[in-house]
Amino acid sequence: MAVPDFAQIVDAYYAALYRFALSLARGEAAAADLTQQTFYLWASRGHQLRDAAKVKSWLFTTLYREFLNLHRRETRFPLADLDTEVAEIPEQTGSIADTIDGATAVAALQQIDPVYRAPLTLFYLEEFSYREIATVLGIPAGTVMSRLSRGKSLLRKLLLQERMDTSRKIVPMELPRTSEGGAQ
Amino acid sequence: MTNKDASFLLGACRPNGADSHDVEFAEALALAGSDPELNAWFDDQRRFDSAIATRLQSVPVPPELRSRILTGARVSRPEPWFTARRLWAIAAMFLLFSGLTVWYSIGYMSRSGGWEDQALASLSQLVSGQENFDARSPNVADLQQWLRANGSPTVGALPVSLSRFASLGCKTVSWNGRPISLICFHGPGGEMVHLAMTERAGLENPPPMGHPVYGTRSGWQTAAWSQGEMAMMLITKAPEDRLRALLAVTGPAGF
Repeated sequence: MAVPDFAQIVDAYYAALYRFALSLARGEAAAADLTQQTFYLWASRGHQLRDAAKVKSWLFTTLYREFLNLHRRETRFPLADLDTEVAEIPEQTGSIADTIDGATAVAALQQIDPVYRAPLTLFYLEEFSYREIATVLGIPAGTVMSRLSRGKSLLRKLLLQERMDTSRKIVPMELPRTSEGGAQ
Repeated sequence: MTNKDASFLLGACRPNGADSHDVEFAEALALAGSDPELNAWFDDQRRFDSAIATRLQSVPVPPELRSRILTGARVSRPEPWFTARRLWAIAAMFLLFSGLTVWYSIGYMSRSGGWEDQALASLSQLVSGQENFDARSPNVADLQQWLRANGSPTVGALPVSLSRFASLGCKTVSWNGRPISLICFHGPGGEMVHLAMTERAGLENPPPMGHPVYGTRSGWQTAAWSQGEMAMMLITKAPEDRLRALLAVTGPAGF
C-alpha cells in the first residue's frame, strides 16, 4: 500500500498527535510545537518509510522521542518504582469516569508520572494495542502491561480524589432576598 | 491462571474489543467469562476505559494548528553564528590558516565544477540532519521570496515538473564567497529532489544553456544546465531515468 501524501497524513493524525503531545508537554503551545516538529520531521525523513501501515507508529514514536530529547536536559525522569503488585481484584470504580469532562481527564493524566502517562495516553487516545505501545515507547510488552495496570490504578485514585474534593467544596448559602420595602 | 493474573492481562485489553481474538488474552477472557467476580470487574474496567477514551478524544485541538502545519507557518531561522565563542574560534583559525587558505582558494577556483561539489556536500549535510534549513515551507514561492529577500540566487521560473511538488525548505551556502541556493522538494515515488542555483557569471565552466548535462557525483544523480543568468543543477538519489523524466516536462515555465 502506497504511503499517503503529506496533507492526508496531517488530516489523519494531527489531532491525536496534538492530544498525545498535550498529555506529555503540559501546555497547549508546547504541544502544538511538538506536533509541528513531528510533521516537519516526517516531511524531511518520512519519505524513507515505504509501508503505509507504519506511518501512525512512526509519527507517535517520533513525537515521543522529540519530547524526550527536548526535556532530557530539563527534566530527569525519576526511575519509577514499577509496582506490579495488583490487588486481588482492583476496586470497581468505573462510574467515576462517567461524570468527568475531557479537561478533568487530561488534568488527572498530567498528575501521573510520565512513565505511566505515555502508555496510558496511547492506550486511550488512539487505542493502540499493548504491542504497538511497546513499539512506540521502545519498551518490552510486559512492561507496557505493568505500566498500564499501575497507571490506571493511579488515574482511578486521582479521579476519585477529584470527585471527593468537588463534593466537599463549600457552596455559599443563598440568603433570602429582601427588599427595602419588604413584602407587599 | 488466577483472577489476579487475569485482571493484570485484561487491563491491557482495549475497550473497543479489538483484542478479543488476541491469543495473549484468550485464557484471561475465558476466565472472565466463567468467573462472576472477575467478569464484574472486567465490565467495570471496560466502562471506565471507554469513558476515559471518549473524554480524551474530545479534547479540543487549536483550530489553526492544521493550517500551521500545512503552510509551514513556523519558519525556522538559523541560530546566530556570531556568538563570542565562535568568533574567537574563527579568529584563531584565521590566524593559523590564512596563508594556507589563500593558496588553497586559488587552486580550488581554478577547478571546474567547484560550486557543484560544494552544493552536493552541503546537501548531504542537510539531508543527514547535520545542517538545518534556513527557511521551511511547502510552498516553493515562499522559499523563492525568502531567497530573494536575503540576496540569494533564484530564478523566476522553475522547471515545470518541480512546480507540481511540495517543497520542504531552502538553504543558502557559500562557495568562495559566491552564494548557492538549495531548495528541497518531495519528488515522485517518495524520493526527494533538490535544486541548486548560483549566478552563472564568473563561473569558469558554466553548464550549457538550456541543455542539461547528466552525471553521477558522490552517489547523487545530477543534471546541470544554465537558465538565463543562473547555473542550475537538479539533484536526486532516484535513478537517472526519473531525473530525465522530470526535465522532459516542458511548459511555459520550463527551461
